[in-house]
Amino acid sequence: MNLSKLLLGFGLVASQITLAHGPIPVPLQKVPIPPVPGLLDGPDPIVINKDMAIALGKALFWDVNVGSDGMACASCHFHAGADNRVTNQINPGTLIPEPDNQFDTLNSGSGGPNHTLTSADFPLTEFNNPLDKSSGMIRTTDDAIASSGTFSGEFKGASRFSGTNDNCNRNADPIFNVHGVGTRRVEPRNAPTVINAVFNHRNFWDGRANNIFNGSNSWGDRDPNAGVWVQIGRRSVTKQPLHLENSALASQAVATALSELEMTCSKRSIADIGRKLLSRKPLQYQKVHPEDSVFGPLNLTNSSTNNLKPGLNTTYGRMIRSAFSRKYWGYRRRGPFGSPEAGGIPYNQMEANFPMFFGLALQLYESTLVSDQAPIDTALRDPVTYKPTSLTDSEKRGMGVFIESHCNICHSGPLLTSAAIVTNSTLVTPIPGKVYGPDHSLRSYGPDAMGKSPIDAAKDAGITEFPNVVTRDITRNPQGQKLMDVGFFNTGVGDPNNDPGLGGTDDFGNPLSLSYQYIQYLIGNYSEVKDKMVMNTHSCQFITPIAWNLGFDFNFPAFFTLSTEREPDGSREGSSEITKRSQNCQDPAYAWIPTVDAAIAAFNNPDDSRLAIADKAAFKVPTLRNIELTGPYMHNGSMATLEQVIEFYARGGNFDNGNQHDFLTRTPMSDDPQKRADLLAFLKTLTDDRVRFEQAPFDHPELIVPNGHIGDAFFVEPGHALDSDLAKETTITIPAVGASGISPAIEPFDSNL
Amino acid sequence: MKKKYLGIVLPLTFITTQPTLASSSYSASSILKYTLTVSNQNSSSNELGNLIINSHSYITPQTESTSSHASISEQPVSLIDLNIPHTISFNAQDSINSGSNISEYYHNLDLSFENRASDTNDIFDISIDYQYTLSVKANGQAANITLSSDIYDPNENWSNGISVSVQNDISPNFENSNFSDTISFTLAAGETQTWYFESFSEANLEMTNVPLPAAFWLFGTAVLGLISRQSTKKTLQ
Repeated sequence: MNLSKLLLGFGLVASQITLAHGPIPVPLQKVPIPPVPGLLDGPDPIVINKDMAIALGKALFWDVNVGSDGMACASCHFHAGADNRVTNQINPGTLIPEPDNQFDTLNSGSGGPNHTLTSADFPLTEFNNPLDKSSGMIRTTDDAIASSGTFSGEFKGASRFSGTNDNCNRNADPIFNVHGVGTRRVEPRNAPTVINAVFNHRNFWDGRANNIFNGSNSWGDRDPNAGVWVQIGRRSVTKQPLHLENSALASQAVATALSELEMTCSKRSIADIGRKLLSRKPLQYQKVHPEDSVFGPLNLTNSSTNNLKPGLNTTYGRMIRSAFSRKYWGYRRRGPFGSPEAGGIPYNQMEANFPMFFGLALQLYESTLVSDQAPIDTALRDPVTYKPTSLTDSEKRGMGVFIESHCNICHSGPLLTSAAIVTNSTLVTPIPGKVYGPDHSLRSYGPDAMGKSPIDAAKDAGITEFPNVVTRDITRNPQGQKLMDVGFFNTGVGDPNNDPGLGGTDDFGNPLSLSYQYIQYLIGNYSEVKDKMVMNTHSCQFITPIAWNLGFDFNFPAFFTLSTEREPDGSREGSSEITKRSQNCQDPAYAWIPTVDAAIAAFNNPDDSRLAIADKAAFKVPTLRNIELTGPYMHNGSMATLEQVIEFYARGGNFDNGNQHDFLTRTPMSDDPQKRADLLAFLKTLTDDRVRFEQAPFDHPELIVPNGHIGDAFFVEPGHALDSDLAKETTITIPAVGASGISPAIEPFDSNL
Repeated sequence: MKKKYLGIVLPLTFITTQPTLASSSYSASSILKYTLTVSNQNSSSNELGNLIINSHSYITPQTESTSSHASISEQPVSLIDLNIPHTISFNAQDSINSGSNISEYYHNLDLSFENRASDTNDIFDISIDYQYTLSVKANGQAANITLSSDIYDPNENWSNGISVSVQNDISPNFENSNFSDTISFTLAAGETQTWYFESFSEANLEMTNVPLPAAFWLFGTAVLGLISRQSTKKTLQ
């Protein structure tokens, strides 16, 4: 038995690449949103009127007054929750540690600020034979296709009543300009869809939107000074830490609002945004449909059927008073909360807590953006295997290709991403009476929730009853074992030196990677474990072990196998934890961790790779839902079509590197056009028609979006109303839509090229 | 001569027909009526002389500029006059012609009760019947006002309240509301309690000069030019 384990260990790599296995794509219907204890429940909930909080969030999401110069959250998330603009969407690679900030000439012969993308530009990294990496790379670039945002400038103030633009000292940007005439800045990573994003354990491509919302910023428990102001008496208010689980969308929202690439002038706080907005009507200058699915039922619109009018018939301040517990805004005096950097009367409590209102309202609104009526959701399913039976033959074959090509290991569960950690874990936890899926094909929670074990075991994707945030898996080039953050992988899309992704750091200099923190746990450096969920990692659930009880002392250099080097996982916490951490194991023999001494020795030995982590250029696994509509693809927007994405995987990625996941290799579809066509057909079963037709809950107010500047990549016309050194711009108007949606449907990204 | 007359009259006509620059303003009024009722549980005594009642009424401003003001008026009725309504009014207002102002005032009425009886049987049952009447109005280019009246218990925890809010561009731009309740408590010998009635008016005003259309300046320049030309002609003649 032990020998067979050893042989299995040596053969682990081979087994992974040859055997189609792991969870099958499953429906999203009746799948619960990750719980946020204390937000809406408990004895003293933060939100006392959920419907009003959702309305507040929807208004904040779509309101161009949130930004400093007309950028709403929705300005980069208006098309199936993403961005399909094609002009002035290029970033020159500003995340390179020492960037040259030079734009490249793309394949169409142009590029840089105000370039209009064409189909000839894609994919940004191209091979002679797109199906064969060995054919040689023709071209690549460190530029990224993302979203144009703000001109920025230094914040000086804003009207509390009128006008969209803040008063900022604006100049032409040294990077984003055409011959010295300023253009809107462009962020360095592509805007992912907000639809279904509530299921992500962390958000942003690099995971810097913490799972825990602290009420102030995106850093969760990493920021000891974060918190919210709570009124505790008539004349007393105190700043208290906030620790809201499963609130990565709130963490994301407050960071984006303060991005000087996306939305804001510098030196502007979210409290300043509050001061600008609280007295105003939401959506002050944007028409709202009378049948808006959120504002309509609350009688908040000023519109009638044939007369669409801008604004809601209330103010942001009133919405907050209605939605949130008064202890967060009821204190009347100014003074304890600080003052605007740009000057002015000190903040009041509602302004000071505006980061919390903003983050939580947006999260509650985005929590309604769940697309669970795609063909993958509504298909009849086999009661034993839970495979869909009512899809077309091509779509069914395509799902087979999806599994055979190991797409399902990273794109796992109902969201088709392993980043949905809590959701995936919930579904495989047997709870009597708990089922999910469409009414005609209900599936019980438990180990078979995502397909019949053992072949279709969710466990193969690291999904078990305990929501681990760290695992250990296999990388290639050269092959080896590394610790990984669950839901984050390096697939070799771009040069790993172009963008550190998960290998970046937070505002305090701490690595973003949770695997890094797990190492701190292993070496006993507990104070450096900032995200406390890391302390609860169950090592026996790792896809490949870190410490391994083979039953005899054999020094297996990839693992801590010697009895003197390892101790039962949980032994640092106590015997009950040892018991807990030996449940749901890939193998009970994995339920070990290195001793502190062994871990420190390995950590300090550069030749010892047992504590290696694969964080550099690892990115969050995106959901595949509505993928047909959410191009361009990848963190750098380097692919315009799903065909190009499939070719990328068929050739095993673009850039071989030591952190690349082992599954980035050729698979049977690499040499089979029918399999690739079937896979494409399957991917299109993930589109919810309500997203396609912008029907509730995906309806929205009017939105005017900056869409490049007058001119082209070689000339832009100066004289923008904000500053004569800035380029005049063109806009697109997205009309207000009611609950019944639009016709015709929205189109994939490449239809704009 | 006729042309020159026309040249003078036209700009005057234009000036008099340009939009009148308005002000932004608000007003807020909170009227608190309350009646005190007291009885002594000590049926043998029924003495109320050991009950001391004090009131403390004051305004605290919190404003950006000095244009606004607030006042209180109180009926001169002794608090010891039980079963008689007491009325206290709080008013705040502001009007600006340009710029902006955050205009905030607190009016606090602290009602304190002290039982100085030495006989522990002297326990007072006290009721405060109160009614708040709030009214607010906002006018002009950009103005809003929220008026809140809150009651805090002796532990300074919020126990009840009412709020009205209007904005100049949301119809209607005035609102009023009533709210009444009764506070009942007992006061044992040696005890003191204070109930806090706090009204808070929170107003935002903004007034930007409406830019005149470019046509006005062009027209005005042209007319001035015409006058000048007429004048020049006359000189030349």
